[in-house]
Amino acid sequence: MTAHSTRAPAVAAHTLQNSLHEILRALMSWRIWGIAAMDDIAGRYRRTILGPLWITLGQAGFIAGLYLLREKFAASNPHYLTYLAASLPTWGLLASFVVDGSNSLVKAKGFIDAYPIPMAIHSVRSVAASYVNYAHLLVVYVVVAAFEGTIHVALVGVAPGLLITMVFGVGAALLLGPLGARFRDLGPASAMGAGLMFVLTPVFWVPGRQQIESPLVMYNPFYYLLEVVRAPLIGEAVAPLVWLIASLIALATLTAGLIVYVRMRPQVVYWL
Amino acid sequence: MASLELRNVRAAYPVIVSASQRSAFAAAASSMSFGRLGGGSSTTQYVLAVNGVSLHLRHGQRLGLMGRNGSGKSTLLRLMAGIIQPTAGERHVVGSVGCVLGGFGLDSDRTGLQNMKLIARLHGLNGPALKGAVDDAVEFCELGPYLELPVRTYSSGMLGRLSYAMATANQADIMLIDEGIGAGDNKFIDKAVRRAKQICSHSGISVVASHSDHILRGFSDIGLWIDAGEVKSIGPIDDVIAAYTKFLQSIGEI
Repeated sequence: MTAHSTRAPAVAAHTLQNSLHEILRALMSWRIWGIAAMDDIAGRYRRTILGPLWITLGQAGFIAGLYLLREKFAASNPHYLTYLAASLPTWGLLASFVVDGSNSLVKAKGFIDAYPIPMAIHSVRSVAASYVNYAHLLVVYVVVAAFEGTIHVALVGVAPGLLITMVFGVGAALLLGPLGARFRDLGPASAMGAGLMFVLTPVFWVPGRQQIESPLVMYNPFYYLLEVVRAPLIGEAVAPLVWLIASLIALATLTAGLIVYVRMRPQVVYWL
Repeated sequence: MASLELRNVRAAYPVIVSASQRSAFAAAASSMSFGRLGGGSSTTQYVLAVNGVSLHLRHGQRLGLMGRNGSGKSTLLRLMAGIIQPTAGERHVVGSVGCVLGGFGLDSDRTGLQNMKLIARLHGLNGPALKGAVDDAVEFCELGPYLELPVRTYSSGMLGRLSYAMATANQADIMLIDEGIGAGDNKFIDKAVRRAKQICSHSGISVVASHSDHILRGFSDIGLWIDAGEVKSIGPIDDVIAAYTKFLQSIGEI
């Protein structure tokens, strides 16, 4: 070892280019992150008899519990059950982008250290795993919506909504992965933040007109991201302003993610 | 034709000593108070692990890295692999890279066989190519029934066998091997050497880092002695080992 210095070394321009190229290669390696993501979810339940069915059962139990308390949160909504079955998984998706995104690179340390595959694969893999989890949670929605008869033609609107959340998810993983490796308190902080936002965002409570116009909802980015997916799921049209704001949030997150990832990439391995 | 070139590369890594260096809140407090609060992330020290190394390996060349602990061997291997990006200088690689570096990158709860499949998939193999690579590794590592046991039950020698078998089964053009291979027994090391020579005869490149003369001579025809992140000597393996041994004697380490 030699020559201690106290300044972070400057990063050469071609290194930035390499990092950007690496993200593209990672996004295109769908076969790798797709299988790894499914494996992540299966691995979580490897030693259980019910396996990933636990995800679906847990969700059903949670929805049933909240439904029993429906008079507190949604006295007037006749389709509260569908609302919950659409809302909770979608919230879970958004929250896992933030929480798992912060841990995505730290968790993959062993593989990052051992194999020269594009590091961003581990970020994309965590986003894909969130969707695999989401698919398990949506099973409850399908059952409930069929039972309540709330499946509507507006459901097609869910596709662009999911695309927006996907852009947000990839952006969040690229942004929070390197930051979470550099700053170890980001993981716990984001888990705490997600818990707080779960209560503040209209996830399990149905907002009235007055609440929608309150700053807590109006300036809450998660509200817009949630709404673009949830509204079509419960048979409602998404307001154009909500589309616009959600898209802008997703694009801003992706831009921030690209900037942070490209700048931090060369140093991240050392901080893992 | 495989080629591996480093041009004046440097790698500097941060020395992490306190939790406040890794805290987002401490960093925010520090920048908002102009460094008076939060311990100041600007106090992080950086160590130059590799400083201005240039080399160009061409097809068929087998390099052996030697140097004392902390001299930069592993960092240099990780730079070659592309796991670390150089903070200065350039790296140019033609050909695919397979490596057996520290840590092995195995999932300890999975069986040896499941890990082999996972590694093959992470490298983008599937279908018959995946099956071929796994079959080849199974045969080469000679772990037999142990392949059905979780990897956490393996000894370090067995882990080394598994990783080496998988890394070479991928038919990579460039093989990078850290000193973990030294945990293998002599019979396995001889087998590993034959394999590395075979890869190099198909216009590949191999680089091995080790403290053992036996391993260095077996694997390599060129030697590189690195000290304090800088190249001390590069040339025919026997000459470099002799120079390095002389240096160790002069400072009383052997």
